[in-house]
Amino acid sequence: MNYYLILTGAKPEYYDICVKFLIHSAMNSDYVVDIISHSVTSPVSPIYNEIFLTGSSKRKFQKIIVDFDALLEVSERTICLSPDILSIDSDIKATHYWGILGSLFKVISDISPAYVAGYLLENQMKTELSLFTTYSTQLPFAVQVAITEIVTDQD
Amino acid sequence: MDIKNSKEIITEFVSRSSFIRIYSDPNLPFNISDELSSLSVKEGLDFLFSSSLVGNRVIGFFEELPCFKLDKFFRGDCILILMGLPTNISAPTLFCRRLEDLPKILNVALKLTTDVRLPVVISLSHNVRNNFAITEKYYYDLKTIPTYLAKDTFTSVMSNGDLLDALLAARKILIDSFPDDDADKFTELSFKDSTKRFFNYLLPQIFTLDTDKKIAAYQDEILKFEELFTSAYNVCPNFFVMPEPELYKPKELLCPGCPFVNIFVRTHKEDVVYFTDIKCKAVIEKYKLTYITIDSYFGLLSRTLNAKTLMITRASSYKPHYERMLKTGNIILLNDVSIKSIKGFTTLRHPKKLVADENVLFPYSCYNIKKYGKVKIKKSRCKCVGDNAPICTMATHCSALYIADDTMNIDPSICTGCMACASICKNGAIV
Repeated sequence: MNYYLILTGAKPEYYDICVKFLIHSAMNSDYVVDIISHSVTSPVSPIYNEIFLTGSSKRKFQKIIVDFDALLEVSERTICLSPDILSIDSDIKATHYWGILGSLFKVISDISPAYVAGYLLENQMKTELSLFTTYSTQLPFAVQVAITEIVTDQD
Repeated sequence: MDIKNSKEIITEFVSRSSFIRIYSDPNLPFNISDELSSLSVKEGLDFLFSSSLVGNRVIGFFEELPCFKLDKFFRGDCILILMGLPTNISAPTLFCRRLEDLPKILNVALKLTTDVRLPVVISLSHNVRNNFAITEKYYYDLKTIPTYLAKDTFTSVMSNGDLLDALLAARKILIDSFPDDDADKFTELSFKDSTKRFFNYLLPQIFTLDTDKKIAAYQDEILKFEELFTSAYNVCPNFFVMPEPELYKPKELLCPGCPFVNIFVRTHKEDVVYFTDIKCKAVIEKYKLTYITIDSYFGLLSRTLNAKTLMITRASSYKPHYERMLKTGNIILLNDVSIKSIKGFTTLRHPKKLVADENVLFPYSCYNIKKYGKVKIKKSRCKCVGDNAPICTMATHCSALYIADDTMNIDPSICTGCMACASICKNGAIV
């Protein structure tokens, strides 16, 4: 399966580490990773990246929007992972980033969450680890149903 | 993990290449150095050039690069990193559109400036500025040369023949470094889209694109290309528009304590024409400001105008002889140099004291935003979050404000206490 991810986040230091883990994990699961970045207009502008994960020779890409800080207005019917959709509370330390990253690992099920879990465990980031493992094993029921419907319709 | 982001790659290059002087335009994403940030772009360029002329290895980061003339060989290495497409080709220019290529391009630039003794420009596309890449370990050339100043260092001028020889030598190095370059075969051209074709490098006076051929380009880039090729080579290739992929646009965020937010929230009037010489794309787009220099502004005020005007500029740009021209129009000086007072201006200690129609010395600028007391939100009074239209975030775009648990919250680690949000909250929820 191939994936086309649109990622955006307003907290660069947390966004940076989450995206690095995503790229690292995807590459270790034999995906070819291609990343595109877009312009920002101020020092605090949200970062916006597109990531193409190519895992098969099919030309079809499953689009997933990963909106770490609920900054996008998405009107089209597509998979969107954001704090308000996943009912994760945002906070200053950006612990919600790990929950959203976990949900992405759940959607792209053949990427191993082991590197992220190992990092969080090693650094004793208990809240982050709990959120990550919760969402990487089980998505909220309504979200899971919506994602299944979208994927089925697109097939 | 060996994955690096753009800033880490640039920082590593700068720290390992023994640059003696570093200039950076304020507010650039890499945040490399602020020791010379009070200089204007032109001043920064002059500073780097004279430093390099006597043998120092220097680097500059620019949002826009003014046109300059090559009339001297530099003893030291000089690299100018430009965020975006240049408007002219004043020096050998390398284009980087993929972050993976950046270490190689930095290395080529360093070799080029050492060998041909000219400044080298590296133009970075958007795709390079906030990206991630796995990069090989590069070993940058660390040798420096002693400085040397002679009586004729600044007066000796190189001839056109010498310059052309240097440019041909540069071309030879670049052909060796980019052997697959096939600019004469381009049928499409895009700087921002790394999947399309673009030049690896351009040199002053030497142009290789076939201008008779029709070339596809994105609408927003055609104007830039036309400006570049016309000013640099006096040719204009035959462009036609190719369709552009649609992108989502994240909500815009502005710096906490942004002086412009404070000025517009507190004193905005529909009938005033606003000007600035501060190059922040976010505020220029949001508040529809007109960019002009302070000298141009005083040119406007030569006679009484039919419209009210307000110029927002840095205190360091203001010169005493402007005082006699202050009778019409208003000026807000953003205090970037911690000056106590300026004749003819009311000095403010806190942005909340700002009033309209006065010449004001604002307490800080974009580059030295001050931190005041803590701001709190009375959650019982915070009403408009539920309507999905919280006026505080919509008006200020402040990155310190965020919604959690269906109420507005403030991140105290970045809130500056400017109280711009408090001044527009109708429910008095922010105190």
